[in-house]
Amino acid sequence: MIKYTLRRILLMIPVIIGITFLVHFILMISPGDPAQMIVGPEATLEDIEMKRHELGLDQPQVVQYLKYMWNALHGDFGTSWFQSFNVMTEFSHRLPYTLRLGFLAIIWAVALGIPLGVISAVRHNTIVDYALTVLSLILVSAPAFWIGMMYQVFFSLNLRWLPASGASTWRHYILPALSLGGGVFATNCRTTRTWLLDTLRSDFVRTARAKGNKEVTVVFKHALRNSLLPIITQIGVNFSIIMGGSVITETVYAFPGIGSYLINAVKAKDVPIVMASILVVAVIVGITNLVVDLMYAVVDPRVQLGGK
Amino acid sequence: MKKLLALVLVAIMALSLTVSASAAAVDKKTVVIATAQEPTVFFCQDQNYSSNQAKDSPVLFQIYECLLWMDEQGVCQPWLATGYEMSEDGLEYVFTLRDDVYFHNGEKMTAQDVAFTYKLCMEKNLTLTRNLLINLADVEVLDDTHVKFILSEPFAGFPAETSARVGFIINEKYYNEVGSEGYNNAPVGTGPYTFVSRVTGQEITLKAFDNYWGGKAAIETVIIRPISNIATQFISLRTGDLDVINSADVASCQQLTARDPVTWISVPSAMRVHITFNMRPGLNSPLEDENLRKAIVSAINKDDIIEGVLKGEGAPLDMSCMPAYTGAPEAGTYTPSLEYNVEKAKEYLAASNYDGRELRIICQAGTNYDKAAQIIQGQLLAVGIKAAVVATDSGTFTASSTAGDFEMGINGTSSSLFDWSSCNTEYRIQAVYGPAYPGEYAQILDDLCAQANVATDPAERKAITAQIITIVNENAFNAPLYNSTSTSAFNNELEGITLNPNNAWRVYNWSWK
Repeated sequence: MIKYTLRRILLMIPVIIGITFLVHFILMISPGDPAQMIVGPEATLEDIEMKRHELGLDQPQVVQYLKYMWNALHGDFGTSWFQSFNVMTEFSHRLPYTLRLGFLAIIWAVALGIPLGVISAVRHNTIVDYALTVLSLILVSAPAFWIGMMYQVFFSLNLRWLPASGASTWRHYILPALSLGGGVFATNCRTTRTWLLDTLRSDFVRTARAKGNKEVTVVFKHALRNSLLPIITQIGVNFSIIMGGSVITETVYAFPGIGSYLINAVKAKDVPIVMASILVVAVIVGITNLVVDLMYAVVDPRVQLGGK
Repeated sequence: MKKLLALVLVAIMALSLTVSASAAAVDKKTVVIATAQEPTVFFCQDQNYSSNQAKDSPVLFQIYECLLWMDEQGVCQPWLATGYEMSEDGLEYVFTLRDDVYFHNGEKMTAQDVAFTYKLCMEKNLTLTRNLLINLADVEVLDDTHVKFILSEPFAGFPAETSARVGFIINEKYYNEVGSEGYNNAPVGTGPYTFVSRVTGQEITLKAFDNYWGGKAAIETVIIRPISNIATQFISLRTGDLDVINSADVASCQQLTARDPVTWISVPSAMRVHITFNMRPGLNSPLEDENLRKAIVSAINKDDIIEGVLKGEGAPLDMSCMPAYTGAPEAGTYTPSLEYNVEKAKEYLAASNYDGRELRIICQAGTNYDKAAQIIQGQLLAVGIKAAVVATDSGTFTASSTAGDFEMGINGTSSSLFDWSSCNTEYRIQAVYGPAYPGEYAQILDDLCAQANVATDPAERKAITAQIITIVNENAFNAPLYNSTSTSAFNNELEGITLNPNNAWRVYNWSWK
């Protein structure tokens, strides 16, 4: 397993290089000159050229990319072109917010989604199953910003239970985590139901029942464990979705994570921030997928990592 | 199952009691303000500071002060300076300073600090100096309370320059200790509030300055939070999590009801919105056709645009300059832009060489200009002109504008100086893309603008600007649309809130009832 893990970590390097190069390339060819935007509307050509030189924008794109990556390798993610903040310092402040929010969203979505998926499967074609199906469909198909605003109207404005914006106390995390995890909850619920229904019709489940096992044992010990592989895969994919979804959720709730930071940077074409955000998200998603793959072996002993 | 349900209900009820209502009782010593964009730069003399960073104003105008203050009518009033005298040739201004002003670090403000502030900007930020310290050549200290500004050429708008962000007075001693970065991280000014902390993305905290020359502020703590989502801003205001929304959305303000514990005010801003026609030489633009331009201007119903964009709160403009700007021509002294008249528009169109092609209107996506462009698209279609709205991000918009890759562009132009000089960007030959008007008009307008800049006699200056506007309107070189607004929504227990055209309000004047 160690060998497999090391190989996967090494494989992440070309993936990250590919992603960052692509993002850098897109940023460079997209319209708009950051130098002109920084110096303002009244600047002369000389002012713009001076700023371009200062930012290194007058160099070939490959040189700019290599310089950025070399500095990033040494822990220097540069300084925001528009805000004069050190990107690394800013990230060390913002990233914990996004990670906390992401984990909270995943935790509630998994903790509720899988058990409710099991209930839906066990009681399929009943009122409970139909209700959960409708709820899942709403959560998975409604836009995240709309769901977020509905929560704000209901829980903040009407009930006055929870704050509508900010991140200074644990209460500020509840609504964003509910919004962010909504789609993941629905996917988990539906995935669990589908795979569990399929497993429950298997011969070995029929055998387990014939042996006189209790229904709870049959469902949770025999059927669910055999349905977990696709569900775990789904959780890994969900984490990537959560990281992407945080951009919208953080904006709606004025949450100070990297999602809201990234969206403003993309609008302003603030290359150091965009590059650092993509780099960090790529690493997090890569590590998450690795952990998910390693969990296969834990959940299903038939899975042997390392190619045997 | 029933037991489980009962347990869940009890848990929810218990939670509702523990978390209590978020509409906390109003803290009479604190005010929480929301801004759509996060203020990030707190040092204006820095080389990276540009004139279009108005987002920083909510913080800057509490910490720093200028020699003069621009009031609600756009008129400069004495502030850190008790007054000034201009020499007969208009090349020298001597400002008399207050003698009771202290910086937040305890240092007394002197003429040396004032001179240092301006000289630092002139040394470090050439772009800002050229555009906001127009013609300023040198600053001399006469004594502790007198400072002389020397101009290379007269500039009638100079007093207004000392009321803008670039003129925030800094402490020389502190700057020498901490440098630009240190000053930006922990700014020290003479204003009624001292900087306490900044948690990026979350909030900026300011505290009332005990030694403020005007007396300590009634509100002790100011918290400024960046909240970009309009719905979130208004929900937080209605629940009491926020006290004030800076630059509030007018449509959302109008939806507030008498039951909401909030109110709102709106005043004309320094922002004028207009359509630029692309007539740059060599681009072979269809807008070089005077009749087509006149058809477009005549087809535009400004009242409908104001209703659609600002819910009726703005004011139509008949020239691309704010009437309240210093140096703007008086009504009746210039030819106004063509009035809305569909029949005349059709006549102009028939006389033009318009070939039925689609004209691109560029604007920034998601802004009020985007909404205006869509309304104009419909109005133009009503007279037979096809238009396509090309709404893009600000980078693409700037790139298209610079490259001349458009037929019409909608944008707003503001003026920190509230002075005619801001119109220079429209009417002068621009360094970045050259002349913007056909034939000899580019040079004529450029020369007239140069004359308006150096005219020190107000009447003479207004006569020149009237001439410029007349040329522009008679040839339909642009389509002035409307004067935008500065709007603020706030808790109705707050009093003393006023706005000025540049959205430079002061918490110092506020108090809780």
